Amino acid sequence: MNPEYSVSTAELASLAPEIVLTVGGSLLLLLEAFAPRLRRSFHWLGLAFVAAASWYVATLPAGPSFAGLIEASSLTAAFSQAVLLAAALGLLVAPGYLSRERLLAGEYPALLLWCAAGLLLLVRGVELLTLFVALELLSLCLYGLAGFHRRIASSAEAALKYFLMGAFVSAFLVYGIALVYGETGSTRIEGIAAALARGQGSPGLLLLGFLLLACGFAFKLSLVPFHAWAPDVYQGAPSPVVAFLSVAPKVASVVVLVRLVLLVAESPLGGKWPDLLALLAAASMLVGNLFALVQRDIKRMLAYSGIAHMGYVMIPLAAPGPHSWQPVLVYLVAYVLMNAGAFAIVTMIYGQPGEQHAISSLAGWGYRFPLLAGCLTVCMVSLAGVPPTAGFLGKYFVFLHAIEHGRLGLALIGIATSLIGVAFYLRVVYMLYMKPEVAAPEGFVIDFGGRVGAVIAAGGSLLLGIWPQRFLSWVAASFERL
Amino acid sequence: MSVPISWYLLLAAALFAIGAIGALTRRNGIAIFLSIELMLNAANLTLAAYSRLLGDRAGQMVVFFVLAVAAAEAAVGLALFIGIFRLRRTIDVNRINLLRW
Repeated sequence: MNPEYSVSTAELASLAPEIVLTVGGSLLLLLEAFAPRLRRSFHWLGLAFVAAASWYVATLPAGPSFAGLIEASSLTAAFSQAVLLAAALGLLVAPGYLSRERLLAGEYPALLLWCAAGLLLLVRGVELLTLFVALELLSLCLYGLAGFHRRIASSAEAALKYFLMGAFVSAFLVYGIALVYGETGSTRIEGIAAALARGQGSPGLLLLGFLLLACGFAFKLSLVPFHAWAPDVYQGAPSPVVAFLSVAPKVASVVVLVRLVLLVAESPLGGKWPDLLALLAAASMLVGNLFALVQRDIKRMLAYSGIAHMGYVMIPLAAPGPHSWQPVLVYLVAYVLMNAGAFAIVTMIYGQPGEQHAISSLAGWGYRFPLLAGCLTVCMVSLAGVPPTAGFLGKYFVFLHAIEHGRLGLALIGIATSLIGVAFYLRVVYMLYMKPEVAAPEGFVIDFGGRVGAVIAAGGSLLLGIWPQRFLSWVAASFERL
Repeated sequence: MSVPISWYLLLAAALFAIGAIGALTRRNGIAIFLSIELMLNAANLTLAAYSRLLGDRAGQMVVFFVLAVAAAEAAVGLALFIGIFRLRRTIDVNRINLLRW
């Protein structure tokens, strides 16, 4: 290390989005301590910080900074905006729920903003230690958020399960970093690529190291052998938290996983990796869709559906190359809108916190909540991948990529499992409109922010499906300079 | 004669395996967490040994970050344990089972 190393202002400026979010979170925490009367405006302040971060992300000059530990490009900017969109939705839907449960406090937006800072770092990090620290930053905030409803046991239990499994997996991640560092002599992705190209290090240990690293991020994505936490955490954690937790960490972890897979697949070690990822994708699609079919609880059903969706996102990685980024980005933006939207509506129309969110109690509510039920219907149709919605657009690009790059079998599994998916997504819609009401909803609070969030998510899913041109040209522009 | 580096690596691998087995078989939440700490420290030992082997100080720097992260994890984890103990009067993970299939 160079003892005369100093941080220039240009480098600090390259961290502007993360700095805005971290300072914003700390400020909200201080306001909670010294001006608790302003609580009602905390979430709007948080939204302002997210908007500022989004503006900084859009104006960030491209290139590496901090001696090549992080980088900025149009690619990272696109994924960062998806993360910030999820953070904005998580902030919009929360105040109604939190004030209903008498939990309104500055800690919620503070933890969410810090988590978003970790996510942005994860998207931009190109060095293993940076990635690890960013991952832990976001994980620790998520453990706190998952246990935010501290008076009910199911929330505490969800947080504890998430924490124990997350800490267990992060130990594997550190061991993987140690092995890769030891065998290649570098923790930078570029340095590792150069060492791999030279054929440095023992192939067995390197393979083990990369597998352990991939496990760490596959856990965050809840891909199939590492999915056990997702249903429990989604069911027990407060619904507005799940609206954020089920989408934003996935966007950032996918970016890291794509980086790792491209790194390994282009090296002499990479022979079997595409097949391994194809296996993960197929297992996630099958397990996710089949288990979702038998769930009675809507949050558990959406958890299994999330597992299946991450399987679809992995399909382009079964034929890795720089061309894999584009379908992944399209799918993830669609997923952020439709999944966060579904949880936003679940937050509002289920009046009781805790473990019970039965799909059957939705019966007849379609006429009671015309706007929200309409939004939920759009989200469900989009999750099912029916045109003209964002979900269909995402699936179309993913399957097209698989067919173009010789993964016909995987595309067929994907199409078959999507058809299974239609059954359980449309059951929600059937319950809403076709069944007579069995129980009147009670205790629910529908506030302005939640309505705006639901309309943005559902409207976005619909708009991307009907007029995809502008969105697709934005995606294409993100990849021009690759 | 000095101890060869490979011995440190083997010791770390053994500690990591012990930690992993402990984390999977223990029922007390705190014991699981201690096993996870053992795994993290096994990884730290690996990093330090490799750092020595390569004559490069970056590995030792990583160790400091991992230690700091482990401390933060312990703070959050113990808070969660206290939270669940207040509600359920137990931290036995087999009896914390409101959420299942």
